[in-house]
Amino acid sequence: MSESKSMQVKAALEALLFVSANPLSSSLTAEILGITEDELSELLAELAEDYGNDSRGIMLEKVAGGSRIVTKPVYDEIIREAFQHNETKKLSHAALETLAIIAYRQPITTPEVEEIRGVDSGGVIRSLLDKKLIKISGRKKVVGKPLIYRTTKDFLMHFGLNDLVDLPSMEEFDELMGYRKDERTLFDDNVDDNSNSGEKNEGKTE
Amino acid sequence: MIDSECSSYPVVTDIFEGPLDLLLHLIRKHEIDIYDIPIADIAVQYNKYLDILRDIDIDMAGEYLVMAATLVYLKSKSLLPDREEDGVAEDDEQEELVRNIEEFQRYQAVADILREKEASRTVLWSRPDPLAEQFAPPQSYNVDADLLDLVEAFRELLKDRTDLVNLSQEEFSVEDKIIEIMDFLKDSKSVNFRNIFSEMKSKIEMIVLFLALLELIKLGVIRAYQSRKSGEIRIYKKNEESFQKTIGEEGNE
Repeated sequence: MSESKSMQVKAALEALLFVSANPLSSSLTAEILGITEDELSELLAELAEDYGNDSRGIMLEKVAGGSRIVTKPVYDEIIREAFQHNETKKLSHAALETLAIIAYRQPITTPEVEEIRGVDSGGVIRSLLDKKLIKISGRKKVVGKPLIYRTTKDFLMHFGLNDLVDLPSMEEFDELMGYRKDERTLFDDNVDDNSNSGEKNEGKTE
Repeated sequence: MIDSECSSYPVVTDIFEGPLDLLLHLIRKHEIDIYDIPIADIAVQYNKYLDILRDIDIDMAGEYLVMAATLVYLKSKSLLPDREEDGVAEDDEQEELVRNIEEFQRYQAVADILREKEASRTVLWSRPDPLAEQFAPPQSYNVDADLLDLVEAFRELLKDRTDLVNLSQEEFSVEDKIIEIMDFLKDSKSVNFRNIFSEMKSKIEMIVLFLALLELIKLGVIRAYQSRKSGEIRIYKKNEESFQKTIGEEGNE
């Protein structure tokens, strides 16, 4: 790409980002702009650098497998003030816990969620469905044919995740918490203290 | 961070999220290694809490009883002299409990991570933010849905559900369903009429839930709105105050 063409395409990309409510997927965007995905990610990196300047109020967010323009966190307060938006849309602990289980164990049914949480979860699941943070993705072929659930793109967007793999793996958690692996011995004096980073347990778990 | 919506309700279930949460609380409080749980002590502690919970709300304590039974069972086993053939089974049961705790704790940690991510995400704004729209009810739902609209919507819903079964053994009460609806609305301002019924398998249960819905509308606790006449119906909390009052009453009964 020549420099002047590159500038034009970058401007076009910015225009697309500006109007798009949803994150722009790279394959589609590259096709529309007539460039390769590599060239696109280069331009995105350039834009991100431009926005990195303190004189700019916006930045690029990589979320749900795409990119979009969002405001910088420091301007949250004045935005809320200007638009009289005082509500914070925070999910309850039960909702977060249920989402955590669904995110890692999907596709999963309500009874399976309840087995892990130890409490009735029908209400919270329906409320998550209504918020479109999870979706029904069919029925499980077992007795009663329970509905199975998956997390949605909105789930990724709500938590600012680019992909589910952005969440730590279960193995990483086990290490952090000092869980034992397969060789379990009785009378091990391994102290499980999950309020700490788990440093104490390093090495012991192996 | 505590959910600002939830913490304002005088509901005791907020203390613990369930039996595992209570057990985990005890384990943390007494700095116990989950791989070496002093079952006898924990069983006593657990039952102490259970007594308190039972005083507050008998229905809720029910959920905790299975765990209490498991603990007492494990305790009794640990008190009996080890017989060889039993030894294996005992370990298995305790192992299973440990595995459940591990699993539960993992997702607690994930929930904490999600909470942090949510907090750092809520300060970013895009234009227009599709999430903001979702969490605040769209303005277009401003037509009151009257009884006929509701009945019609419910009839449509029943027609679409070909998977319903009728289990004559099951019994449902309007009171229970009222609590269920309130529970449902605790986390959000409004809910899609159809989604309330999505988990249900039995026609009777759906009818009872529908009656509960009508009862709540009559009481003025919730309202039904639609985007246009015969459009999609959403159920809204009428106002926080009366909603909380009703929740309080239900909880104290």
